[in-house]
Amino acid sequence: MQIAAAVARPSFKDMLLRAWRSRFIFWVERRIPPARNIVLSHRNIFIIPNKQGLGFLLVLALMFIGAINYEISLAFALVFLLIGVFVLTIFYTFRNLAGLHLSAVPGSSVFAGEKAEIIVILNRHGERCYESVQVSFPGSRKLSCDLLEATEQRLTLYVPTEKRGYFAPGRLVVETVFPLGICRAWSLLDLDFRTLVYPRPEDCDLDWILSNQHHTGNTTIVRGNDDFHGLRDYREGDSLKHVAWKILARGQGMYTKEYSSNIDEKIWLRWDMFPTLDTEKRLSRLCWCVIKLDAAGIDYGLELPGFRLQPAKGQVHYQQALQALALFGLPAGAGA
Amino acid sequence: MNMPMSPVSNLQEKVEQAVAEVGKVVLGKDKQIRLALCCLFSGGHLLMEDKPCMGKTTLSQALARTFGLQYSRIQFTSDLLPADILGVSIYDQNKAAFTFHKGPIFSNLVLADEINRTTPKTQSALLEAMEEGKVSVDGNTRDLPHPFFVIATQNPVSFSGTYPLPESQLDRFLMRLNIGYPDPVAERQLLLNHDQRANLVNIKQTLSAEDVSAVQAAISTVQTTDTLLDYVQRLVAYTRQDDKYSFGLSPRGAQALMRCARTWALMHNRKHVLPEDVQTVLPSVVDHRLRSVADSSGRNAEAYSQRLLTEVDVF
Amino acid sequence: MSKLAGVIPLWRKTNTASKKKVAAKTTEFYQIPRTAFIWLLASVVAVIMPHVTHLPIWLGCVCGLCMAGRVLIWQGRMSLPGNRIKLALVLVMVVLIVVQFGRNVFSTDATVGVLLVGITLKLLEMHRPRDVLTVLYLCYFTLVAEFIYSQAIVVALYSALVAVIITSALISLNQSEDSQRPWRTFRLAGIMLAQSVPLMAAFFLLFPRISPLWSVPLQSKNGVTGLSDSMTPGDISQLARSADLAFRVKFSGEAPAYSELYWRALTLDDFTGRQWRHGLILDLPQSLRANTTDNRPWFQNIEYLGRTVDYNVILEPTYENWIYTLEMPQIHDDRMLMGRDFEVGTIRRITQRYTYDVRSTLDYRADATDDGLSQRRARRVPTETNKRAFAFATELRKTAASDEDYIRSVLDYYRNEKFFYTLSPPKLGDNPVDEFLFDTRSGFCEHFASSFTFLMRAAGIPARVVTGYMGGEFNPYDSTLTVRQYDAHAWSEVWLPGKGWQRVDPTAAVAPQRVSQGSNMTLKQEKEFMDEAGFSLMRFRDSKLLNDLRLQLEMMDYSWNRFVLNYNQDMQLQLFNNLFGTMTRLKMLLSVIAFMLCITLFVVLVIFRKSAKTPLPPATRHYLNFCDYMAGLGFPRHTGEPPLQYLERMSRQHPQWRHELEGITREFIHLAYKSNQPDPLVLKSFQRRIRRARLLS
Repeated sequence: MQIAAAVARPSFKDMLLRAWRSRFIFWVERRIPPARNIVLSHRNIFIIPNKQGLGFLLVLALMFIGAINYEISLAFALVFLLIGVFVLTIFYTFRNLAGLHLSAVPGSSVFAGEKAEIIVILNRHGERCYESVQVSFPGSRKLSCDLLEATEQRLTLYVPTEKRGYFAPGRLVVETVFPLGICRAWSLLDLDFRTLVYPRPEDCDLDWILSNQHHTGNTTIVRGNDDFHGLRDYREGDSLKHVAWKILARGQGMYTKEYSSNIDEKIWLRWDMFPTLDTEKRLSRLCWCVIKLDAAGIDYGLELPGFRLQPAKGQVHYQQALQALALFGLPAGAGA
Repeated sequence: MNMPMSPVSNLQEKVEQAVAEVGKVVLGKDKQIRLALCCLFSGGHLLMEDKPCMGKTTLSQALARTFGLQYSRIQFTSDLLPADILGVSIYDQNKAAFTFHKGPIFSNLVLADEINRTTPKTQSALLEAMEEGKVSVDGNTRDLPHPFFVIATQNPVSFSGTYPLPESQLDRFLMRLNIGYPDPVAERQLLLNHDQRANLVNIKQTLSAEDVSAVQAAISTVQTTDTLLDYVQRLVAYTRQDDKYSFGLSPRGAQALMRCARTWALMHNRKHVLPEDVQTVLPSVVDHRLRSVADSSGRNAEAYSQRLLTEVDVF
Repeated sequence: MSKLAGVIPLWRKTNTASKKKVAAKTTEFYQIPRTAFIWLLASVVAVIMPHVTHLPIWLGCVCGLCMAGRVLIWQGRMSLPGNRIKLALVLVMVVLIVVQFGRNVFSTDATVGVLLVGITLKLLEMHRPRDVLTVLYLCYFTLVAEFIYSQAIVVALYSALVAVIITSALISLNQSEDSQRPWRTFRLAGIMLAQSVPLMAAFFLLFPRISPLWSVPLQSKNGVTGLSDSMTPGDISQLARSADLAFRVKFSGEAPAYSELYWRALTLDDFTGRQWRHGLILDLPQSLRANTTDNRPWFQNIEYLGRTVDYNVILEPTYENWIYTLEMPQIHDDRMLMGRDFEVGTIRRITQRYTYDVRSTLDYRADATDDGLSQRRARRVPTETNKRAFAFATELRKTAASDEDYIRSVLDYYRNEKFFYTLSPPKLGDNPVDEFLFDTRSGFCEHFASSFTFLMRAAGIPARVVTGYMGGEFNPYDSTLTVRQYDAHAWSEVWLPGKGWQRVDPTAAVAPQRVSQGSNMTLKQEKEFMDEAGFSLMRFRDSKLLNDLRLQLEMMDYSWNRFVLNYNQDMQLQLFNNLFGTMTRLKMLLSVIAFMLCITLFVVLVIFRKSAKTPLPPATRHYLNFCDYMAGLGFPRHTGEPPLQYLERMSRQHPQWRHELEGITREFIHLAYKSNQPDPLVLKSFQRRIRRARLLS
């Protein structure tokens, strides 16, 4: 019984700590509901003296004892002055967050395993300035910024992602210890933010896939080196080898000759191309193919169970394909 | 049509006449007509997008007529080449030199029908001309006539056999209009009468190129107060921050919005802009410049501009 | 198909992400931000500066070297010292301090020295932000140490400046390097401290003062000038070289005549032939502590006759056990008690500025009847030396009819035989009284007092030397009397049967000016006078302007001492009584809390005066008020609904309101959208209109 108790004691403490923490999180969830744009105010700012602040108070206590023992009036005055400063610092630190507007926008898209780029926007309205405000997401670095002359700051935070699908980072921690570093004001914000994470690309044999396509007879023109295709205005940076010298010699200006290659297929990326793999692996492979084909500028279509994307290319098409892969199989409402 | 003393002062009257004239052939679409006029008065190019056979072409032709401008119409097809629009140099044996044969783009008003049916190469030839107001062919730069408008029509992107305009080039159109189905009254009228297009020839010219220049000169005198600019800035900021939009409104887009709102105020005989003006022109100006996250094709943007109006407060 | 491989560029995306991880590596050494470092150094220098004068020179050098080292480290020309070097440094310092202070290792000087060395050594050890903080906190603490030495106004102002600098350093630590602007930082620190002044004042006035928790090591008397408990010829003339403040007096009624201002301190009744000493101390202060002063038998021997004088004295620290009073004092103070010779002693040595209230009766009769003991002590004469004087006294006594007559003839002797009152008398040998009376005949007050007392005792009259101060300087600005070291004086007391102890000042016989106008007027021609005063305003007392300036500064100094430095429990209670009448403890507490709340509220309002919101133009504000009102009626304006549209909707729902609503909306549009500077009159009428609309419906 005693042994059990001895073993149980630390875990009980842990449990208490965990219970307290979860209670706190629950309380925060209710107190600061998710919103896209949050204005910091007394409703959502917490403030407490930090370790340095306790040190400051300790020094004040020592000074106070000195003042009592030596009966020095000015020492009393100094101690009281610093107590005043301490009290003021609470307000100053609070003020260094209050009134700040925060929102987040997604940065460029990411693949699972990469760090999601999240741009946190801090805005100030009115005259009040903010200094040394730090923001971080769980797992990201802490970034600090000032809003003195500027009224808006954008900070890019990188948060590690693991799974494909919609990714919501934890609560944003906004904190400051400015001006004296003896009080810490902070807030935990849910900026109702999510960003799409594409599947983690995995290498596969693209040539094999290409050679196994059904021939459809359509012809796509891809910029290449095979056949002369036409002329266009010379742009800076064009290779001099491709300048239409004959036309230039006629004095009609500089033109660039365009060549083209013909690939007589539209490529279909299909779910059943990798019959032996599980869902995630398949998605990863498909994702890799999509990236490669997009980079090569080849038309491709995507076929998943319950989803079909006609062969095409371009940024929009690329994103549609990746989005389909990212959200495949996830409940429709997940994170939506 | 004689030149009035102050073209802007009776603008509203003229606009009413023009709307009535155009309304003869395009029934029940007063708001779209007004917006189209607003776009042209602001000196911008107009893109009309709707399903086939909704009267896009009719409207653009009617607009051309009411302005009394010299216009040319280009039907865009997949085999149209840039030279077909811009013009070609042909070797003249008699003069022993190349002579340039101007393409249809050299007119005050160009009706570009079904612009997304042609290849990007041809599209960009037109769009470059729109942007720069001049054309470079065979190394010679030629100025386009002034004023120069393009009213382009296109089918919705999802229709097959289309080449969607790239986002960067959509920006060159000041407004994008959707015509929409006619309302029941107009529809009944449509059914009663014969082909409306026969009326096209009857449209009288009520406006002139001078009116356009006068309006453009007057635009800068329209008052915009801080209260209004704050509102516009909030609208723009919202598009940049809200995660429903994958990218926000560009500064050029914001400028376009203000320009249209000013013209709209002028068209209603006001020398100051109201939030109503901004709200009226906003969907047409902003829709094609925004792209939502969920729907990356650019469709349904209307719903998002509507969100802007209901979620950003005026004050 | 194989050619496609060449077309497809290498896949890039994942590589870039992995690179970003490298940047997250933490730096090994904490590098204090540049500007913060300068602030830190400034703080340390500012804190050490005032201590330089009373520290051993080597200690100052060590501090300077440490700071120089820190600068070199910071510039990267030197590396941080290793653990061994640090240990060695600390050991050397400990040894040096022990050697320097010896038995006084726990004295204040030594403690301050250790503190300063600690701060500067800590500069060499800064691995973490916490180390920087430690230094800054120690700097705050050292400010207190400075007050042990001096609490003058100048020191207070300087310390306030240093506090701002230290606070600036703290702020600077929390600022990013790009937005550091030294002046802005300094201003912010200054504003913060200024804003906490009201709170400080409240605390200072209201916070209950506690008596010392334990006794602290006393300071040495080094360098403090003042009277001692013995007197040899030359002692007091030495004091006249100094213009240091002895004490200040404020009379609550009319001040007595100048020639009555004999500030009595000690009676010296033990004469060795050369030195006068305070004799056998019968009254050990501790043993008498429990007694109330008035019960002791000798007090029954005092008859108080004339008018009383009440006054308050602020005594500069003397590191001695006695205070200065006019004759004949009545003491009602636990901290002090009166001795047999009517001297007033204090229980604790006076190491701080010391305030006391006394009532003196200028006319009195004390010890009128012989109790034997004190008179016997006052008759003893060493007979081995000063034989000529003794013989002279015996001769003179024989010719005199009575004791009084004898005293008169001795004073006449001083008056008639060319005696000189001077600050620089010739040196005296083994028989100082003889030599003074018959050879040199020039001396300072101690010579006169000493020889006079000797002549009295030689004639069998009980007499003793009294030391203290005579006179002072009246400040016309606050009518305080300033007594300085050069006012030090010695005189005699003789005992006459039936009359008791009588004051006789032989100096007055030689230099009556000294008694009627003070030593300042009498001695200012002598070059030794005040020659230790250094360069101070005291030197320019002949210039009217500068003298006025000096007197005004002294007035400030007096108030400072009186009301700030000596603010204590009694004054606290008195303040409350004056303000609120009689106080109960609860009432006091409540008023204190209310007062503090008010001040805090005020300060908070000042802090938050800058709005975090863009201020709305007035027209919009009024219109939104109106909208709120409408919302209260149940017809809110939707988000994003512009005014005209709202008007349309409302008019459709309630046609009867149309007229009023339309008026308001049109006026608002006119104000908000037609021009950026709306006509104030229109604005006013708009506001009135809205108010009316709210009242009517």
